[in-house]
Amino acid sequence: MIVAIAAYIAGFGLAWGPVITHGFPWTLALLICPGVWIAAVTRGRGAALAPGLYAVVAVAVWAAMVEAFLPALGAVVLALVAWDAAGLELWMRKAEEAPDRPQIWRAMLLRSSGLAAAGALVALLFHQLELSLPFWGLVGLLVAAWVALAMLHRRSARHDHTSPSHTGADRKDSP
Amino acid sequence: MDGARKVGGELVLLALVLFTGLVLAQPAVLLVALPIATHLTLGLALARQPTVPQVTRSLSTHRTHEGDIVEAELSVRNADGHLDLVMISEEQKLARHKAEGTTSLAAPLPIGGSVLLSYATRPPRGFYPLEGPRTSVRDLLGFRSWEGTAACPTRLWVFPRFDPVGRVGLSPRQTLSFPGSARSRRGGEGVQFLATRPYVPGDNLRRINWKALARRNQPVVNLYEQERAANVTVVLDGRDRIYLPLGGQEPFEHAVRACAALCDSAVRDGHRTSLLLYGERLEWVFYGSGRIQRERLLQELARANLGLSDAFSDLGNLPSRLFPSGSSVIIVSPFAPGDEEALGLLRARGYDVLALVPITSPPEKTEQEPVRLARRLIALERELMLQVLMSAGIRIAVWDVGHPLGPVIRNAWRRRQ
Repeated sequence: MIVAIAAYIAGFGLAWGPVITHGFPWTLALLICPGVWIAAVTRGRGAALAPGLYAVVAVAVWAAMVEAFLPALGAVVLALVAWDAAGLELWMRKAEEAPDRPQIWRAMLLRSSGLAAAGALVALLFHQLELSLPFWGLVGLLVAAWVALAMLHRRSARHDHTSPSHTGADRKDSP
Repeated sequence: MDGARKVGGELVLLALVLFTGLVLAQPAVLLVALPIATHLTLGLALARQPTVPQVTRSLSTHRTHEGDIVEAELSVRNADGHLDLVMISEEQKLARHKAEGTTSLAAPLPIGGSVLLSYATRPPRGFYPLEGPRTSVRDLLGFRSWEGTAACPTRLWVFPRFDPVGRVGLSPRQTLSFPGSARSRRGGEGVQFLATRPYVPGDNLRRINWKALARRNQPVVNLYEQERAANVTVVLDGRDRIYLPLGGQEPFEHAVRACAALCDSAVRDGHRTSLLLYGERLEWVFYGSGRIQRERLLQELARANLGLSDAFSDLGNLPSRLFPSGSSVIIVSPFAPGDEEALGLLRARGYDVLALVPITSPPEKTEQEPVRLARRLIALERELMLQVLMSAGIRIAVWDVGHPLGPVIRNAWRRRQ
């Protein structure tokens, strides 16, 4: 849980730092987000995970709009790591014993930070390149990306429901 | 959080960020969405479809008595699937009575690997049809997950614990033709003295009563009471309204233990024994004898529960016509005012009725005055009712649960009606 909280606080701080002067003192009210998130997650409320992520990303979007692109990217990466870490922690909390806990955490952090950092690097690259793309071309690209994601989602869901290995009594499947 | 919710959450977030970037025409915001997109797409691509692991459960015994330790082992094996992480949690029915060990475990499980979960539990009386442990499987980031019950059904019987009460000297009006331990009120082979009669040629000379011969100047032989098997009906009163003022489940457990001891004794003595649970509904184990019948009776007692229905709120609906005429009927209950009429009717129909009343230890001194007075009133009411029952010819055995049951039962049967 310490890893998740640390990543969340760091991510939130990174995003919040550049925007603190915009609309001060009202931006101080944003500090309630990490407080609520930490309180909810330490009490095992899984429902608080997604709103917490949304809050950090929203502040990061604001930071990106006020020309603090790098802190915004860092905040999103850290928020995604915190989201994964808190999800794993809440899942493992149900078990009395987890003999390979350090190995599990190491593997999860490696994968989570690796994927988010890869995305951040690509974003940084695009930021440096300063490609000029027509507006409708951008929209078309985004729609294509969205359709591809949706198809991936649907395909995995179909595979899940037809998988012969799932013979449990009451199943609750992922997509 | 399961996989579907996680993927859905990230998809919504991605859509919101992209929409904001497009609406505000801010390329920097669109670029902020890239880490989310790669995290989601590559995360989904790397997450392999999880499969359900093979789970086997072994118990040290499938039938035991309450208070005994049952050792259980759950073995989880990943034969050929992709399992980043697996969590297995034993069913709550057993896990909440754990004495030692671990009842839930999370571990990575590579192909061909296995994990073992072992624990000891001390379950209370009951029947435990065990389906399988809760199993949860997910990839490292939680994009794909599965949660359900891994099928490895088994069952565990936990019988009530009881001390044997020894031989109970029944003397019903009618006995069966098989040998047993019930006094049949007929002369023949046996050990209990019944009467004397004049000697007739052919009588065993060892049975001549020499003292009577000296007094009467004619030979007299002793007659002994035949010992036969009998029909015995044990009735367990499971009406919760009469146990509630006495403490609820705990006095009922003592009643169940008493029934188990009586059934065990009756079957061991060769009687055809039957059990009737009278409470929420009627549960009837028909007459029988032998080890299989003993097992049936104990299984029924393991399942016995308190309950109440309008039809069986008082003993008036006891199905006495099912009892063989002249047989012995043992009713185990704390009884409540109003029950004496039903018991009197049973006696009037010719049954040899024993009312066994389990009572708990005297209340603690710390109890408040109104509670103490209420208990005293209940005890007085019961005392009065037992006096009425005794005058109706019903044998009464009041059993303080802190003491052995055997002497109480034997004394009750020895007493003359």
